[in-house]
Amino acid sequence: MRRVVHLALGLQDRMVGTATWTDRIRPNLAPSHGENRDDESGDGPRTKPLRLSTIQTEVRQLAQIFDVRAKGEALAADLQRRLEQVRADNAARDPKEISIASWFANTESPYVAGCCGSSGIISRAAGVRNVFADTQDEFPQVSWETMLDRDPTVLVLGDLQRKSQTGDKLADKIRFLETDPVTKRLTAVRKKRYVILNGADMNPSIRTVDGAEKVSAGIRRLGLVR
Amino acid sequence: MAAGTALRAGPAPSGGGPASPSAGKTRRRLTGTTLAALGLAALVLSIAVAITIGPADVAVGDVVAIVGQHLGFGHADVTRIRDGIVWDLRLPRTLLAAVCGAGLAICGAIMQSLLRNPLADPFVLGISSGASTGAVLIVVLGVGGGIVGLSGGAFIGAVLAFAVVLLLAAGAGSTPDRVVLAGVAATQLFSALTSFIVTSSADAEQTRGVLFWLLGSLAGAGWNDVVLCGFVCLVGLVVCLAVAPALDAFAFGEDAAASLGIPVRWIRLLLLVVTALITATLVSAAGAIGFVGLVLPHAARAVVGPGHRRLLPTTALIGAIFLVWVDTVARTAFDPQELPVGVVTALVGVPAFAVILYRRKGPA
Repeated sequence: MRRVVHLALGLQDRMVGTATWTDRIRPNLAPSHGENRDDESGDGPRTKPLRLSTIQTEVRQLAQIFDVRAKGEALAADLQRRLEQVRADNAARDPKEISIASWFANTESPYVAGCCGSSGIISRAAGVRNVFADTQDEFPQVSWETMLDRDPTVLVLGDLQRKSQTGDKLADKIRFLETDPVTKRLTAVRKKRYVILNGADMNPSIRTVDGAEKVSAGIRRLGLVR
Repeated sequence: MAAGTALRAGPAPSGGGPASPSAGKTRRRLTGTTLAALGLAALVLSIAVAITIGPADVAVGDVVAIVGQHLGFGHADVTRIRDGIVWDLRLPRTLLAAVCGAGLAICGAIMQSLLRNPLADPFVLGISSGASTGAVLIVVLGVGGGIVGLSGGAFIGAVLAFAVVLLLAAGAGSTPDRVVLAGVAATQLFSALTSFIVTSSADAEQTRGVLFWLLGSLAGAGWNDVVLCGFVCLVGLVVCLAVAPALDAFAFGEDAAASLGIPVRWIRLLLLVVTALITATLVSAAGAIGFVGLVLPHAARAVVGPGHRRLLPTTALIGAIFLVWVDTVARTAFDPQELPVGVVTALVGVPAFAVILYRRKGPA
């Protein structure tokens, strides 16, 4: 809704994307919408990878609305600086060296991070390869067979503070991974190579940068980076 | 209804069934044995081919070696990962698909005969809606305190719903039509309860999780599911085969069956309980996989006619082969993503059923 108002105010140059819930864009606003078309849906496929600039723009927009622009600029700059730091720490390494899969929820048929959401920013900055980067959904539901086949070096596990599916909480995930006859064969499980993120780190938000820092620190703690 | 009665009680063009004349009996029995052997061979072959197909690229030779090693022949020179993919993922999942297909198809065939209704399926007596209420109570409201899981809740809900149907039907005289109506009432009641719980206290994520499960999925299949469901279905099939002659007599109406000396009430109760337990077990393991139990018994009747001694094994074989292939499509078509198997059963099955209906058109 906020974004539709932005279109109406002619602020399309300051928007990176739009999300409409039930309807197509209003016809008289469609030209402005078309100028800057990068549809973001909460859970569907992404046509373009999410970038930090999208998150920064939202920070600035909110700061503008609440008339705290200076704080918004400071926060946006801080996010940029922290992400650059993670990138600099991992730039020397070939991203193919360490592969990851980010498991969000569900034990029967896991939801994992696809190419282009929060996890994309994290993988690029931390210099690791997401084994499910060939999927465009935010969280595609994949099979354990594919997980085993792609056998990532490290599992990034979401510790979700909700209880709506199987394997939401970190303890449930680890118990499943280490007792299931299939998943305990994964290299990352046998060597207990886990990096723990919050749900918000795995979704586009200011905590995406937290996620990048945690993955970067995690692969060092696991001794994968000298 | 009328068409369905004709399907069963009318003279079957392909012969078979206890009421047919005895001439040519030997030839038919031979045909029956050949058919059963062919069916079994097709099922084994389907399972064997299905476990070589999957998102992971495992060579056919490796698949054979892995299965051979677990059965005690030779040694497979493969990684633990490949071994797990074949032996702990593909094989139990494919076997569970076969067991679910067989069990649901048998239950559907028996429900259709018992209730004298071609539209009956394993879920007609409220079992799937009872299972969904049970599952939602566990997932959304946290009933059971983590001791009873999703499948346990679904099983208890299914059995409760079935008990409600039996009580309602007993109070109403237990004729087939009353049992169907009691089933409709219970289905509505438990669906309403599920909707009430979901709308009053679930969030979108929870609803989605429960709905995916309810559409039916074999993704979580493990060896323990295969053993439990396989055992229940096998015992159920043996019991049903034992009373198959009585079931044939039901086709002529309950009065006619009673006049042949068949204890109608007891046979009916026995079969209702057996099919309910099979269905509840399968639903708690794999969700409510639709279509199989409704349509495949009709396909089997088209092949072997209405006599239950041949119909039940044929239905089981057709159901098993069908679900093995449907699940193979569900897990590979959108690799690496999964489709709910219930969606594919209808997409693949409805055109196949249309062909059968078309070929069987004629005086109804």
